[in-house]
Amino acid sequence: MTNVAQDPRYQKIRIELEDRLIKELTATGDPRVELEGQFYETPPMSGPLVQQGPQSKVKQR
Amino acid sequence: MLSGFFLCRTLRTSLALATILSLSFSCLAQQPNFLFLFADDWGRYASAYAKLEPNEPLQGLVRTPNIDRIAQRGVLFRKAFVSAPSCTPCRSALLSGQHFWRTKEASILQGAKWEPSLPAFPLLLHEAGYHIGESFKVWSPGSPVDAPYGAGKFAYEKSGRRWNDFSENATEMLRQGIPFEEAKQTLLDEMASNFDQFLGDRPEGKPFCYWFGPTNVHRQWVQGSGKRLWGFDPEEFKGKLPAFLPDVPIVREDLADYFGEIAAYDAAVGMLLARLESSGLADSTMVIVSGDHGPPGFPHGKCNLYDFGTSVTLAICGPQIPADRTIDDLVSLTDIAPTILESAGLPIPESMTGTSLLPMLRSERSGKLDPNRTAIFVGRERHVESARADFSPYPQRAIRTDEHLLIINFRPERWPLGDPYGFIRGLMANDLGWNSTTSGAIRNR
Repeated sequence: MTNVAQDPRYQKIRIELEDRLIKELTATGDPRVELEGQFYETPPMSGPLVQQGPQSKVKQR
Repeated sequence: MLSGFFLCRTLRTSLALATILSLSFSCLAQQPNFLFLFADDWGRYASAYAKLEPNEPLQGLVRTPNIDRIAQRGVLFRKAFVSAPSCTPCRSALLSGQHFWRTKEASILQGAKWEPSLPAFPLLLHEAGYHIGESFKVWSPGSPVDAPYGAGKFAYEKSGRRWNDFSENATEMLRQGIPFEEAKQTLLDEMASNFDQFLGDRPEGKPFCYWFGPTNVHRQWVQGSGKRLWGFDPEEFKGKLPAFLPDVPIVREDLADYFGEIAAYDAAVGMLLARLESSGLADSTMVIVSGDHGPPGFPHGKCNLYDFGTSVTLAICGPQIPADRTIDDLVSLTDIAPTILESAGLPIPESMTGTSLLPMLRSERSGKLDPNRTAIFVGRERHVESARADFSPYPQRAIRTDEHLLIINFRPERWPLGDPYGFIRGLMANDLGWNSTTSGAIRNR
C-alpha cells in the first residue's frame, strides 16, 4: 500500500474519486455533508454520554 | 485540506473481462432457512483464502476448516467490506441494508439508539411468517440492545453464554485439571444447546432464520492462549506480519491469540453445521458466515478505514448456489439484507442502498461477475465517546475501488484513534482500547 494522495500524477484520479464519494454521500443523505456535519458534531451524537438506563441483555463489548 | 486526504494505490489487479450476468429467474419452490454466523471483530482471516493468496502469509497460518467448508459448498467473496469498522454502526447498516450514515442515531457506537423506522431484515422475515431466533450479540452496544432482532424477545441463551469468553473459560477449566478437548466440548455443547432449543421451538413447516453472534473473537482474550489452547506458535508469525504491524514478540503473540479465538469460532461453526446436517436441514438452508470488522486494537484494524479494518471474510452457501466458486466483485455487508429478503421472495424496501447478491450467488461463474460493482463506501463517526478531550468523533468517509482507496478525513486536526492523553494516563479511553499490541507498539515506536 502506497500513499499517493500528494503525488501530482494521481491528482486526476484523486479528484475523480473524491467527486464520486461526495456524490454518493449527498445522494444517500449523509448528514456529515449537510450543514457542516452539525448532526454528528452535536449531542447526542457527540459530547459526553447521556445515561440511557439499564440495557442488560448483552454484556457490552 | 490536502492533508485531510489519503489515497492509496492498492496492488494492481489484472482486469478480468466483465461478463454479462445471465440471470435465472426460476421461482423458488420453497422459502429457504437462514443460518447467519456473525463473529464480533473477526476480519478477513480464513484458511480458505490461503491457496488463492500465497503472498498473504498470515492466511496460511489461520485455521478455519469449517468456515472453508461453507466456501467450498458455495461462494467465497474476496472483496467484502463492512459499512463501518465499528460494531454498532456496522450492524445497523447490515441489519437495515443501507449505509450506516443513513441509520440516524444508530450510526454511532457509544450512545447509539435504534431507529424504529429503519427496516430490519430479521423483523421483516418474522412478519412474513419466519421462525426467528438469535444467540448472543446482534446489535450492541446500543439501546434497546438487539432492537432490530426483537430486543431479546427471540433470544435463545438459556443454556449459557460462556462461549463468548472462550479463552477465559477454557483456561480456567484447564487450571481445574480438565483436559482441553473436554473443556472445548463442554463449551461447544452448551453453545449448540441454544440452537437445539431454537430448532425445537420451530413450528412444523415454517422456515427459520437463526443469528449466531458470539463475541469471543472480540477482546479480551487470555494472553498466550493461542499457543496454549490451539498451538499457534507466535514464533511462526515472524516475518509474516503486514508492514504496519511491529514484528515484535508481544504483537506476534497477540495475533496468535486472536487466531486462537478465530479457531474457536470455527469450531462453533462446525458444530452448528453438524446440527443442520443431522436435522436434515442442510439442503434447505442458506448459510452466511462473516464478521463485523477487522482485528481489534491493532494499528490499521478496527475503527480504521484501511482494508485491515474494513475488509471481512464472507462465504455463502445454500440452495441453488453452485459450489466451489470465488467472487472478486466489491461487495458490502449492506448487500446481505436485500440478498436474504430476495431469497425469501420478499420485497426489498426502497430505503436499502445495498444490492442483492443473489444473481451472483446463483451464477455458475467465478471471478468478476457484475460490471456495475465498481466501488464500495465505508466510514465512521463516534466509537468511544471520550476518546478525545472534547468528546468529539473522528469523522471519515472513504471510497474503495479495485485499485484505489480514497479516505476523506473531515477533521484532520483531531487524533484519529483518540487523544494521546489517554495513553499517557494509561486509560482505555480511546478507539483502540488498551491491550498488549498497543502497549507493545508504543514501547517499540
